[in-house]
Amino acid sequence: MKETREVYLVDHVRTPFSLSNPLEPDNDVFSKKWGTELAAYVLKEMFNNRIPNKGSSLKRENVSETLIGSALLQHEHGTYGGRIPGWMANFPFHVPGTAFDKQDGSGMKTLQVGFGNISMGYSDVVVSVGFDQFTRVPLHNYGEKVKVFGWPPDKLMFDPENKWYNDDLYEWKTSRLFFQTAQKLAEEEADIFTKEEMDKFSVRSHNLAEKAQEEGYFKEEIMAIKGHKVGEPENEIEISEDQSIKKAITLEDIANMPSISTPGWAGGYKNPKFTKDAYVAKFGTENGIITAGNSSPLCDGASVCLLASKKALEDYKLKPMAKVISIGFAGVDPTVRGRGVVPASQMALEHANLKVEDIDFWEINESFSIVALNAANKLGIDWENKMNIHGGAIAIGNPASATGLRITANLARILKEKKAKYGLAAISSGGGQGTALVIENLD
Amino acid sequence: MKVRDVYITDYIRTPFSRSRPREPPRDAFGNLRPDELTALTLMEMFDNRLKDKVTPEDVDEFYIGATHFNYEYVTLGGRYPMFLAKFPTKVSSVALDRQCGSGMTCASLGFNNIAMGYSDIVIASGMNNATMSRSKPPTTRELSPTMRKGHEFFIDDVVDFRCSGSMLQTAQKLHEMDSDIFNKEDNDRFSVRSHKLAAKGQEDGFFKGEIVPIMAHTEGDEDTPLLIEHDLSVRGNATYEGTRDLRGLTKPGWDGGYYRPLMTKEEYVKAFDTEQGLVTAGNSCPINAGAATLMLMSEDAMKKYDLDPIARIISNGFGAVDPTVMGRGPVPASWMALKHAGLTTDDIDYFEINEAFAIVGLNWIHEMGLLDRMDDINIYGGGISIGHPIAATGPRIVGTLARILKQKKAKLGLATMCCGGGQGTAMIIENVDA
Repeated sequence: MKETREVYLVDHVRTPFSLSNPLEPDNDVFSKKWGTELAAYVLKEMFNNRIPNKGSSLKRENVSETLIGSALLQHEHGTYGGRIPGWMANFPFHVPGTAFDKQDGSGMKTLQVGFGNISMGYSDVVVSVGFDQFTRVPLHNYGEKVKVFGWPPDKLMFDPENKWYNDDLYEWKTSRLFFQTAQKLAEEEADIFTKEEMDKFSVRSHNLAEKAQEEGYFKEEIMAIKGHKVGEPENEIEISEDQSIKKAITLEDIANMPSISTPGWAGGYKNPKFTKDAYVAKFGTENGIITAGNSSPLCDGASVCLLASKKALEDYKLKPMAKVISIGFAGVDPTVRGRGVVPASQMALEHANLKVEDIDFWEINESFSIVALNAANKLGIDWENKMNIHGGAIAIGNPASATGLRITANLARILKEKKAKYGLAAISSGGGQGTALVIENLD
Repeated sequence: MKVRDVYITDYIRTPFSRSRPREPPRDAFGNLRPDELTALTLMEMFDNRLKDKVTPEDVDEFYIGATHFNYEYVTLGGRYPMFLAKFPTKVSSVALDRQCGSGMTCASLGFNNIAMGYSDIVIASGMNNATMSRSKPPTTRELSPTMRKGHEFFIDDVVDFRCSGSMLQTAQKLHEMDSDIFNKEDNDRFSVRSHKLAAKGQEDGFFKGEIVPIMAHTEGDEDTPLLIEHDLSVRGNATYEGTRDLRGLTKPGWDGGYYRPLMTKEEYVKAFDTEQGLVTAGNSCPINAGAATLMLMSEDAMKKYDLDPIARIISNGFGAVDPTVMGRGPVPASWMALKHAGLTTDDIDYFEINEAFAIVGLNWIHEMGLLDRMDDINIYGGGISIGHPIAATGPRIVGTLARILKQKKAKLGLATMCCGGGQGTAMIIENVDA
């Protein structure tokens, strides 16, 4: 009977991540770039420069498929079945494509699908791209102020008179506002983590990312592209660094940031855990504890990873960054979507036949501090030493679909740098999901 | 790691209604969102067909395919349709877009994850409702970097969006390319054949086994509820003469229908005996609303839940071609699926080629060397008659093919389809009873 094949992660490049701003587009340095353009830039960089510079003979025509991930496959993000970014980067017509929406996990899902197709022998070289551009194709968090291209599911599911009513089960008001899901998670985990710990975690993320940026750690993975000065759309400049890392930030700075969520007692979610008094006693404030400080900023950006079979490594003289060992995925209650990374990681570990202790380094996406902290707590990760050691999305930014690819490739680089063997990357998704990958450093 | 066997254990779809984007009340499903249609198939599957055997609790993954994700097609990563059907939150989901091949790709990815041991039960669905008021992608193509001359990412000179963005034009160009092999009459006769076969399928009750009746409304009268039990595009009384006389909907190459025309006006008239475009409402598929769902299972799960397979999946294939002749996509996809299965076309008993256009079916039949096997191809009609609710067609043709193999006690079948944007998908299945 047929055997599955080994799959290798070969290369990665990404754009810098800019701060999205649908309300004031001029303040986003990439506001004039379509999401598909950002994707095309990284594809071109990969095939025009990086691969030939590393002495590989891999050409665009050798690619088996281009898989595209985006959290919002709407409007400008329509890719005609995963084709348009490839065409923009001069891929020939015979390279197939597919586009995926698994919300924040879309990028990592493209890696999982590529892993599947290479394992099963259907593909040899898979190009995985994740992009999001929240300034031009925004989320629906801004009420009437911003035009959106997909509507919340209120029509069918909110109305108790409607036969599809299921708000009791999935509670859309909370599920579709990601900071509310984090508020609910933080309340549920109030016995374990305080707001101060969440804020401290954010400071850690910024400090680590700042250090990495100063040391030039991100230079290896970032390609510079033309954007414009903040607030000056006519003033074109080259952007070569992530825009959201805060320098020399202190706990005080983070702790004083304004709240963006509504606590359960004030109607933030159904069946609140705390009464107002209990909430105030627990957190020392009446306000929501999710702030701009302890959540990741929405960003524009694109990221590409290359996956290859063993045969392709030999045929095109490619050097692997890591071997992909296993994948994991899981659904959870969408009102506490951040929990998704836990079962997804457990599934990936089980399939890799590894235990938590076997994993040398972790990348758990910091969509919110509480998401990463909760995962560390539930899985038993020594997070201070082993998790997100060069910072995470709170500092680097979160262009949803591009993040899954960034953290996986970062993890491969960390394993090499630390001469460590196993790593696990995981990301939670809107709608209540988790996606995970276990990789191995072959050196 | 050993690759595991993957089985199709159930298949269900809605009837396909006729889309009327300009006059929504004339579409029986004009008020049903695509995710609702999908949920209705899921509920039929779990609440009726497989009741007491398997529940949504047991499902590992849900895949939903659609051609775009604007407005009512938004699924939040595949969640809405399964949540409408009250699936538990622990089920993982994803939404994907491979244009017409989206639904079949859902099945291929489920196949992969079961084969590799990551999942035991996967639900693969495809959905479409082109009538929904704002379902048209709102992108103004002219604003796209790909359409702006002089822009770094200008690609229209190569991709020719005027042609590759209009499925009708891609069929016109394909027909002109195949002018030595097929004339318009071949196309029109192929379409009549499709209607006759589908009408026979309806008369024999063949489709009863795969359609869940949907409570919708009378075409043209939104206030009169009507249970829709049959596909609404099948015309059993179609005649060659009636089809022949329909107006051409396309622009020939000589008239600017696509870049770099293959024929001058004189050559065109000589080849086709008309100045008009060749693609008509008669020899192309209608636009439809509908949803279709496949259930895939590992052998272990099948035993555990005591279900019989309707087929085993042997292999899948995908390929891509010039998007201006997207109808050629099924050819490389089919060869890939055959190669991976270690089979030739001679081994295959029945074929399903999606009839996006008559010329797409005919071109594929010719390229695969199957002109003498017409009796084994689309034996209950195809997209032209049954309808083509884009992403729902993939699960439909795979499911229908599995049922044909069972009915005919035949062993192997191949289902394939073309995708807008120039792709093809294919799947080979086996009747385990034969």
